[in-house]
Amino acid sequence: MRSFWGVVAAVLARDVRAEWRRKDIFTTIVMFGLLTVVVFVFAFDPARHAREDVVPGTLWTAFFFAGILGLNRSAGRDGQDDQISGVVTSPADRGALYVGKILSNLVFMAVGELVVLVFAIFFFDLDERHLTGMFFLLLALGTLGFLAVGTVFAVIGQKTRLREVMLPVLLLPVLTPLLLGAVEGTAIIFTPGPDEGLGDWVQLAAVFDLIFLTAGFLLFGSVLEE
Amino acid sequence: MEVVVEAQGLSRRYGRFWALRDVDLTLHAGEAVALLGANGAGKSTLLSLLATLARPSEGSLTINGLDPTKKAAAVRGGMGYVAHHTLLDDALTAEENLHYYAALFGVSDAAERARQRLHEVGLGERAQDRVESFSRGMRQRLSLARALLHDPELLVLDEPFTGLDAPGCRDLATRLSAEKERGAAMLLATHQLDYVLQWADRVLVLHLGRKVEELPAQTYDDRGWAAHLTEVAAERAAVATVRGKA
Repeated sequence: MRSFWGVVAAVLARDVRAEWRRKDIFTTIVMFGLLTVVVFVFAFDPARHAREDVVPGTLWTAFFFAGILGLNRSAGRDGQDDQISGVVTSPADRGALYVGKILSNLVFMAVGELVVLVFAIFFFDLDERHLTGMFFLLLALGTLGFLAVGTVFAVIGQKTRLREVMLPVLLLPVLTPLLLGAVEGTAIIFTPGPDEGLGDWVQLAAVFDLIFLTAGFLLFGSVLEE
Repeated sequence: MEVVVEAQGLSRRYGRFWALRDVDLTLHAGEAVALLGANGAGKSTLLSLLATLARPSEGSLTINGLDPTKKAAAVRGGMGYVAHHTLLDDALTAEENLHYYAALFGVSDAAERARQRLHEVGLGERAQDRVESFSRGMRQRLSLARALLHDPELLVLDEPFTGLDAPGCRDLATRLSAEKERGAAMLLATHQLDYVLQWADRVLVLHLGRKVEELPAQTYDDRGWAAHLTEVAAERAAVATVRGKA
């Protein structure tokens, strides 16, 4: 009997094990994320700009662009030796494959984001008291929404000639509402004073996640097989 | 004997190009058919249709009485596929690769089955080694172990002898012959006829996407195949000449 969670666990274990040995996805995410933070530190001198104006955009730009490179790596690895055909010719539940891929990408991105965040705290001299439970909830929702769409589009991108270029071109327009919610919500958290209006942005991110996780779960099989 | 594959008028088009045209094929349990043809004859297209990697543009195809476009999971659960590529993850060990596929195919006794299959293909002692350290031939053997992991009723094999040395080819032929005896139906594309004709039942020849010949393997004359290849080469040269003049 093929169990849904058995397939999820197999995909997660295989991806994490391979990444533990190669470390190419993690390295890509961390290196690109750090470079983005450094570039923004030089572009917007923290001594002359309010942190709440610069840090939210910097963080989410670093997370999303580094995440795009990570997703390309992850999908590219599935394409090596045509492993994707091995998955397609198996009877495994396509929804389970989607959930497994999201979870493994979530592990890679979460670890990368935490490293980038530590460096951002150092470079922007951030007050750790801003890193509240709501901040981490927003971080989780933003990352999950990014992966809900990105995991599907990464497979589509791999089937085109342009590959690396295709993923951001497809992904970023769809992610606009999520990016808006994540940046605005983070700005409220980093602004001294009450977190007025934060709930609305968190709700926006949650609804985005719900819609695109459902769509991805239902469509992943078709995308994989077309 | 039970019919495993029934194809009628099977065709596949890529854009305006017909890669496969109007092919009929019946494959019974315990029957092996060798698929021959020059490059571009449509062998891989036919195999990819059976492997559910592509859908027919025209014609009908049933596998174990099921339509693969409607009952894909059930069809895939009873099929083993060896492709040009090995479909293996280099970063994992041989055993880890088989465990992964065992989970995808819902094989219950995965550890024991993986150990058994690795032993059968002569990789028992390399079970804990990463695939990246394997030669092409070893990868090919592991690929076969992957395809046989769940005792499939149908084997779809695209050049399974690729990368194998002479003893490896003989071992593979013996293994495939045993699978046929077990009752598996088999369609394999190969140029290594020496290893196949002794135990295959029929030979099916494709040319420019069409079936041009289907005959018992025992009556198949390899010289005829050589003549056929010469004919194809001459035909291509003629086309090239015409294009050159145009």
